[in-house]
Amino acid sequence: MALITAGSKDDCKWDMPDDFYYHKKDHVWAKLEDGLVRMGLDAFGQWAAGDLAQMRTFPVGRAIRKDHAFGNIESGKFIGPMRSPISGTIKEVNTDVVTNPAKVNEDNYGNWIVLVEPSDLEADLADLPHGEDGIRAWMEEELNSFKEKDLLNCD
Amino acid sequence: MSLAAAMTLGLRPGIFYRGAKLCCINLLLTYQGGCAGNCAYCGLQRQRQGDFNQKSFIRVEWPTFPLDEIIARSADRTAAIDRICISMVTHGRAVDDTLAVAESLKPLEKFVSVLMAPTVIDKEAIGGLKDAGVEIGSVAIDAATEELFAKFRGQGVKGPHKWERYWQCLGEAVEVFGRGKAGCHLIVGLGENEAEMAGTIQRVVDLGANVHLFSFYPEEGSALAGRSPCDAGQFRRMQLASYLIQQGFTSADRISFDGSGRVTDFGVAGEEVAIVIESGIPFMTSGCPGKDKLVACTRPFGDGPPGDIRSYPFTPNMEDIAKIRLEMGDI
Repeated sequence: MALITAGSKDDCKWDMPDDFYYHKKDHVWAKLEDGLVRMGLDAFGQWAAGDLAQMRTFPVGRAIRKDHAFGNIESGKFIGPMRSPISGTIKEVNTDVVTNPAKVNEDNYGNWIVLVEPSDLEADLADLPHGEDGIRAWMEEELNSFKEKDLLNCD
Repeated sequence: MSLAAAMTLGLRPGIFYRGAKLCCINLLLTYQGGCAGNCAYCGLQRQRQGDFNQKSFIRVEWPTFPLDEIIARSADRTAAIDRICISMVTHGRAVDDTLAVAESLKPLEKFVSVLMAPTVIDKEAIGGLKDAGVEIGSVAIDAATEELFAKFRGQGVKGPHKWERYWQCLGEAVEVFGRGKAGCHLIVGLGENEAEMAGTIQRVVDLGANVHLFSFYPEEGSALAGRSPCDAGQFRRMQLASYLIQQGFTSADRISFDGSGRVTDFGVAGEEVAIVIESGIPFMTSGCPGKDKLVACTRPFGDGPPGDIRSYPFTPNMEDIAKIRLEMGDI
């Protein structure tokens, strides 16, 4: 587990499991499970979005492509896509989470969003942050980008 | 305080869509007994279920924090904050408490606005606010016509508010704080037509106050929860009319309306209107100014979800302007 911190505030600490893969921009995590890939929103992603009020995803059976949206999220002050870290076909949608997206704020790794059957897994995983060092390097860059835009209220 | 203010002070997580910024900390007096008003469109409505501090207001929760913590956080983030606004509610203690809060904010050396509750404040107390360092006093008349005011805020909902008193209070705010230092909130889409709203905007401007427009958005749990949000085109035309009237480009009696009261001509040359629209400024949030900003009180996504922006908390880009033009329809 990589614990990423910014400043000294308790709520500016984000756990990022180092055995997961991540979509760099939209903070969608991907966990490999017996040939399938479970996906959800990472700790920083749910923090940045705030209390989620709405979530939409494509239905079961829809083919999705790496870096293209498979759904979107909305909170009181934010709306944005969830782009997929990998290509494949949606096998299952966690409708409990989609209808109650605030569950992601409560437990973002337990409350997964979609389960995907990958179509080109090895190639898709190649450029995704993974492992403690990879995740730390990516998140350092990410936090600096937020700081430069004065978007991180963590001091 | 507003969720947006709590996010700005780092008291709530979250980042605003498209990097919007809020430079005004919006505070709301909070009482166990709640607000004595019963306004049909308001999330703080007396008859709505739930404790006062659990009710949403303007679409989102208003988390409660001790004043000392708010002041300390504001001091830590002083560079990001230009203004602090205290919203009274209709409560017997609200005047004294607003004065006390205003006094407590003085060491921060920020501009302070107060959204006054005319039903419980008088001119002498407004003078007291000015003495306590308040720079701008605003009144939320909200409804464009006396009939709608009575229906949604007065007798129609067994509420305590009176149309005449609200206008009188706005006049008192202009007298006490000065022309251009008083504001009036108006909500577009409560059932008025565009001619009625333009007339009310003109009345506010003639009085010497600034207009702060809001697009009606149904508040969950309020009496108007089932009503549709304000039509986007109607709001865009009223944003533009409000800007043109306040800038002196036109006046309500020079604007033309069709039989249903919809704007057909703003009374300004087409090429001038085009320049104003392309600037995007009329469609930005209207609110109290900052130190060197047109508007400090940007209220990000306060009158519509981020996916359907009504008052832009930043300068609209070319895509936004194209959408605004589509929403506005043929003029």
